[in-house]
Amino acid sequence: MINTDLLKEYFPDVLVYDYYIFVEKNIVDVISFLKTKNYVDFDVLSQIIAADCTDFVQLTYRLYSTENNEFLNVVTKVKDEAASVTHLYKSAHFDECEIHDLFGINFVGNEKLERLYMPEDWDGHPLLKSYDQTDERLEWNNDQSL
Amino acid sequence: MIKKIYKSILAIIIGHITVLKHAFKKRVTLEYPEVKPLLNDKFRGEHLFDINKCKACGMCQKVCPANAITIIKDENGLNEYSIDYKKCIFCGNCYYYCNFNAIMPSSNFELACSSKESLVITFKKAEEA
Amino acid sequence: MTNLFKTMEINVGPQHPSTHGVLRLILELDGEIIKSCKPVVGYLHRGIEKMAENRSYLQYLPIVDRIDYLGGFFNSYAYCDCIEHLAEIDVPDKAKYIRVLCMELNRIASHLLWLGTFMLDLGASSPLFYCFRDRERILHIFEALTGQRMMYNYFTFGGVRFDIPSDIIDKISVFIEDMPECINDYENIITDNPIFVSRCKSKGILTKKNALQYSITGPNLRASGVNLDFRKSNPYLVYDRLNFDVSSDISGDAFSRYKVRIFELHSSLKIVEQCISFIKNSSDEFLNKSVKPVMLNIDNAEYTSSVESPRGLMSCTVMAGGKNPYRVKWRTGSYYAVQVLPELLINAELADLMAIFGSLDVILPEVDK
Repeated sequence: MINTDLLKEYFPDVLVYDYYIFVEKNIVDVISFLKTKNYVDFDVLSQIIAADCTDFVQLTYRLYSTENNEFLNVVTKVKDEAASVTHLYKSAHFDECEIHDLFGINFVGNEKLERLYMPEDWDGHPLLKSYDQTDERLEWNNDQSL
Repeated sequence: MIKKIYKSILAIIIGHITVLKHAFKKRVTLEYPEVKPLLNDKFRGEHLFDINKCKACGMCQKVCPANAITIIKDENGLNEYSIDYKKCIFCGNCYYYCNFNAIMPSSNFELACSSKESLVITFKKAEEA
Repeated sequence: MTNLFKTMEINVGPQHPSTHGVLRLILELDGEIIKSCKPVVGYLHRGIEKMAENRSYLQYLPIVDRIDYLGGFFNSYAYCDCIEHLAEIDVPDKAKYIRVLCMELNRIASHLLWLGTFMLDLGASSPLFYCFRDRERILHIFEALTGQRMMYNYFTFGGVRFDIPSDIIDKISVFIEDMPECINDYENIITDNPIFVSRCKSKGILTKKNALQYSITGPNLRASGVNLDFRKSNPYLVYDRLNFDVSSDISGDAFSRYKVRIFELHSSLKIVEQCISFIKNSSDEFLNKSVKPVMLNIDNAEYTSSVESPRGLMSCTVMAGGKNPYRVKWRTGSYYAVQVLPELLINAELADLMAIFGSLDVILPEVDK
């Protein structure tokens, strides 16, 4: 288990439930603290999971420690804009591009941010719950005569 | 240096002997259109549908991931049952979850045809005399 | 005269035969030396994560086999594990052993395909045929067991679909008896071959620090000196009851990635042997019959499974939302291996591009999802 007392001392407003840490703001500071200062160093960012919760997007940073073989989830809520963690973990670049592409979140601090899967001129962000498939390039999909 | 060259030449010779050994092994390929592969009874090919067993419960529709099955019902029960092979992904869910064994797998995998219409296979209830 | 000092931009792919799928690389060349590289992915994007949102849990199950089509069992297991955890479904011991058996045979098949195509990239054509011949035997076993060669749809919630018949167990026993000799043959042809060695040794060195920074997992990470295998470190299924070894290497070049994978073939065979001896003597059920998969309804909850796939850590996150998943997220090993490519290619020669890229064992459907 991670040392939650030390974490609470530095960041008093985080909530900790066994392997989940809920953070309101300063997500980059918390992650950089977990990476360097905590006595368990989380040296791998396994993945970033995004989920659309209608009025905000929930980001889960899944960290892994190769010393202790432990996963830790850092959860935060964002709206349109989030801070990039590419300076801490280089693997975050593709994840951020993917979330930018599919959820429309703008990661501040990632200069190479671009759409990963969809074409540059694609309308909308497919994994949002509000996305309706109106792009004219999808019309062949509904054509019954084919 | 000489040792290195000697080792490399030896490795190449061993490699060639191994390749030569494999040249005399039994052939494993089939001359396909003339010789058909032997398939087992679990193979998920074309569907066999028995219209008399089907109770039109709609279970196959419910578990199909690709929406390939259409059932048309009337007051006497099942009227028309069709499978769209343009959509089917041959996952086999329809026969794994059928309660009446009305739909079964077959080992016919040669489903190529020349028109799109013949990819939709329709089974109709025979008119009762 | 001015052209001499200019760099040239060339495009590799997306339909290049060596890219194992559809990957586009934009390379900047200074003569023969690669100065920068930019991978462009997304040519195989099928929206598998979006597909989950309007299907039931059971309807989504056949689709997950298509994420990494060379390791279909790993995808199926990662998804089934999530659902079993969320719906609190018990899995009988025999089903667990059958799952391990299938997954390890699948790992051998996947590594054999990698070995064949990697050697073809380097210009050796005969290992390709030998690898495909031996892989074909595994696919025949899978076809007899599950009904199809690649898209198995065999694992289900609470176990596996069919029991494993005794004639298939005999087939597998014969296969694992023959296989060490086949691996020996590959090694005779490949390992000491001076052309292969000079093309792979100290090419594409992935340092330990870079591997962790880029979140590389699986054989690629183990070749860089980190002995991390999720079968050992975070055991799932019955891996804590099985006896097997994990190899690692320190040099992190293409040759050590080759060596780690060859070792994994041997350790997978060892696991298969132990599974067979358990399954033969077990009279357990192969499926938890109390599960009703069609009407599965799970309250809001979230779970992430971690599976050691042939290409690294594969994890599936399912956020349940009643009758269908609210959100499914896949983490795959190749996705991060593509990302590290620019790091490995800088200042490498163009001729080494395919040796370096091939050694990472990237499968593009897994990247694009």
